[in-house]
Amino acid sequence: MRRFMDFQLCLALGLLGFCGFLFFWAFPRYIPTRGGDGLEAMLPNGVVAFLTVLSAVYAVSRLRTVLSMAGAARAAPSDDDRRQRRRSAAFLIGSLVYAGLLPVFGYVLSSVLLISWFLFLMNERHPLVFLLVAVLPPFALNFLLARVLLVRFTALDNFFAGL
Amino acid sequence: MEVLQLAVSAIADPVNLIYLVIGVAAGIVLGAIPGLSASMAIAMIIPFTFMLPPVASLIMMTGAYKGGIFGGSIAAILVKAPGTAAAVATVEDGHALARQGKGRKALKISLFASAIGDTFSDIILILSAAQLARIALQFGPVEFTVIAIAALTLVASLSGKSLVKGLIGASIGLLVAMIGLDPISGLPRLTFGSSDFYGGIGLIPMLIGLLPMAEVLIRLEQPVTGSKVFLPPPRTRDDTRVTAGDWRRMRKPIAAGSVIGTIIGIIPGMGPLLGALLGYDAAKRLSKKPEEFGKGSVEGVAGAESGNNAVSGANLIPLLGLGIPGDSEAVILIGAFMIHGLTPGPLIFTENPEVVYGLYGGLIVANMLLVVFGLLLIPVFTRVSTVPTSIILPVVMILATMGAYNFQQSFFDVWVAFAFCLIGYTMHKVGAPRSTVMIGFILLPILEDNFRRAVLISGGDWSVFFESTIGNVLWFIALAAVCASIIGYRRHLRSGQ
Amino acid sequence: MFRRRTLIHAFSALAVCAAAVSARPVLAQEFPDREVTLIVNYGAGGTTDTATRILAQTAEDYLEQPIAVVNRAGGAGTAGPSLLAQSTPDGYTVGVTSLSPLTVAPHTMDVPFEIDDFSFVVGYLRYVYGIAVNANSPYETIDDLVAAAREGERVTIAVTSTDERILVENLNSLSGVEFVAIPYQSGSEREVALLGDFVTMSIIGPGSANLQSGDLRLVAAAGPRRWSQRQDVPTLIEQGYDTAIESWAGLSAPAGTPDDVVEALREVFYQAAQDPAYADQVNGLGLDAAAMSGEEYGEMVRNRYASNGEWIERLGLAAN
Repeated sequence: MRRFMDFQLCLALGLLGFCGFLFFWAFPRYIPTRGGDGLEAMLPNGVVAFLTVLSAVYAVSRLRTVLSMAGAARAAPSDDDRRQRRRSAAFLIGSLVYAGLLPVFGYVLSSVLLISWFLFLMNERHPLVFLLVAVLPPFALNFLLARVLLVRFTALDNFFAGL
Repeated sequence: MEVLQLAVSAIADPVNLIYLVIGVAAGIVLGAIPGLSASMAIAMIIPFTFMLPPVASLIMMTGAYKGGIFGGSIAAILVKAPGTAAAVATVEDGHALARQGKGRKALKISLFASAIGDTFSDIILILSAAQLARIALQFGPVEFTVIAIAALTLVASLSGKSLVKGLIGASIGLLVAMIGLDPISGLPRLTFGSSDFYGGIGLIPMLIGLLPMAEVLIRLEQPVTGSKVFLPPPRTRDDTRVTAGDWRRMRKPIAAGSVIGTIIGIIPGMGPLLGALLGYDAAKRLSKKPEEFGKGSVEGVAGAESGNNAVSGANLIPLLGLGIPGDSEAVILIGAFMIHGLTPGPLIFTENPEVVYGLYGGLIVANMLLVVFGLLLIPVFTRVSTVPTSIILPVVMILATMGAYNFQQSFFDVWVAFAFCLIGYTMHKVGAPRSTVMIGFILLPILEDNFRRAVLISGGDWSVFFESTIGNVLWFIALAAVCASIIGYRRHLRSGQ
Repeated sequence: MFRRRTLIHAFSALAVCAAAVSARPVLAQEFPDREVTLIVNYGAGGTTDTATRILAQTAEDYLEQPIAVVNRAGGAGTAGPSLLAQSTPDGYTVGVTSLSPLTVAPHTMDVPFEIDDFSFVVGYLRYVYGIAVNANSPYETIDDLVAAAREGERVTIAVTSTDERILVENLNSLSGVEFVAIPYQSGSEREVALLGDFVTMSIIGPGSANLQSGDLRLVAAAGPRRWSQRQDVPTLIEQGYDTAIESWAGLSAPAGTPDDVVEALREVFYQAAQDPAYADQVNGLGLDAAAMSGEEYGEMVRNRYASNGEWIERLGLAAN
């Protein structure tokens, strides 16, 4: 049911699962107990236990909200429904990919390129090449990304607003 | 009054003054660039200081450090990208004020609060370094454990509306801090077999990912309405100045922040971020309008800023009094002392008093220079807010990535930053406060190392946690803080959402 | 508007091309023809870092090229050697390969390098250790402390590295009592603990300001010989306990570096390590400047690796 695709609920359950993983797989293997005083596992296990409890509390509260919203939506129509849909996982993934990751990918790429550029500069001795490579690429890439990619957002928002 | 004479004569030396000026200015500028931090600023300056006489090099570095801490606040307020870890407490309220067009006001508040807090702790340092350092010695494993537990209550004040989410954040921070080597046995844990994790997760890359990078993602999602500039312009003249009303509200937070920051700084190992957070927390408790905190509170900024700068001055107390560095910046300072053949510690007051007093003079003048440069540079930096968002965001992202790389010249840190970028974005979507992750992260080493040591020293006797006077006082404070938070929370619930 | 856009796009294209074209390999020339990078495996401002920077400064004169010092702390000193092992073996990257991360760490954790991954260049620093108590402590010699432990007192000693723990275990087995080792993260933390009277004694280094001021009292030198500035304090061996810590710092290049380049590096750094400018400054810090040839250092590393292996098994700290 789309109602249960509540992002925050998914997240809370994911967190619970992660805690379980830490407890049962990671900890026995990775908490050193050799030659120790037996206390090594106490704090890590304690924190994981605490996190588990908190995630459970969060998941329960979120479930309650989702259920009550489902009940309310049956009574009051489309506005609530729309809001819920907006929160659904599909919307989030879509917006992340289009609005978030694409330009981020662009920035990541340019950042990685920039670091390589930076490293290269550290070793370059030819003055003309140094100047060319030092000055132009960062600004160029910047502009490219900013103009080309950010312009997409107005379009995106209109798209989702119409949903 | 011989002290004053020595200090003044050292500072009157134009050579020293010039280096101090360069240091402070460089610190402010470097600290303001998201991705560079105050310690990186000092690290970059170190090679130059080898050639200089000891007093000049020391005051240049301390000037750069002070400038750096303030510079970090500039980036935090204008671009929501703290330039240093210490500015994390200022980010929320500072940037919120900037979004209301009150950027200049926030910057000036930060400047004055920082300068006042720093001067206060410098004066305490000058008056009683050696004696206070001795007091700091009373803090052993038990006391530190209790301090860490007490500091965890900060989570409550930073959690905003949802305590559960704040606690989740803090637990994540605690967990992430456990990655690396076990402090007692030195064996790797939570490293999942990869030696890349042996050094643990770095504070700076994590911070860079969690705050500025995630912020870029968040901003990207927001619709581009009307004006394309990054920050709205000020609406009234008062939005650019610190008014008399502001000063009246700032009095208590600055006083609280200065005192708390100084105390935190005296104890080795605490750090300016803790001072900032405690100052912020104190300001919130003392305020008549606590609901403003998190949305643009003048008092919040004042408390955080005086807190973090007061720590920087007080950090020199254990350094000069005992030869023990209070945090990583102080370690670099010790190196500087040693390169010049000096040994900081109790003997330096008798063996090389001129260096010490020169340093003192430098500290006071550095604060004055900070205010001067700050006021001069604030208009320059505020122009950033007139630059279109489409330029600022990529620049921040790229600077942040380079900053993460620059931390240890390691690509691994860049991936850490990206990972935390996604985590930070998710936390924001969910309404969880990201600053609690930082609290958990910085408190875990203090908590765990000292807890395990206390038990090891006592041979398994747990009553030792209640046998120390200072420890018991701290327990009481922790309890009182928790009760106060609960009462405040109940009151807040009852008075309507 | 149109013109500006085209201009910008033109510039961008040009710039990206320039960047692509200029990424050509550097032709091999006379070594060294540019600056050398030196990786220090501990944090800035610490003992190893300071001494290494002094060495680098001195070596620059012999190398006739600048040496850029870079810090790569973490993993108990293994992050630096890890990076070094993966660096290009062309002689332009060297790093600190101190004994601890090379001979102790591989036994307790999975490190991404082996001793054979390094071509040893020089040994340049001997770490100096001692055992100290608080000035108001009633104990004057190790025997006093042993006696106290025998009477049932809980005697604790602050340590920071596995080397030091091995020393304490040795002492325990030689004396028949148990000194409880309390690990700390840094030398400063150890000192603070001792100054505050939270531990009975602590391993200590000569750079300690509190030792010089008299707030802490040296009861034994923990190395093979007495401290140069404190000839009055006997070593553990002289006090009847046949054990000592000997720890060194050395430089290496990644294995696979051409032999002639390694020879050149060895010559440069050996000369620097023997240079009085280096020795005076480092000794002034209370450390022991020393010079050991690359081959000897390599041999020492292999011997220690083997002997440490046994000890760590006994201590129960070995990796699974």
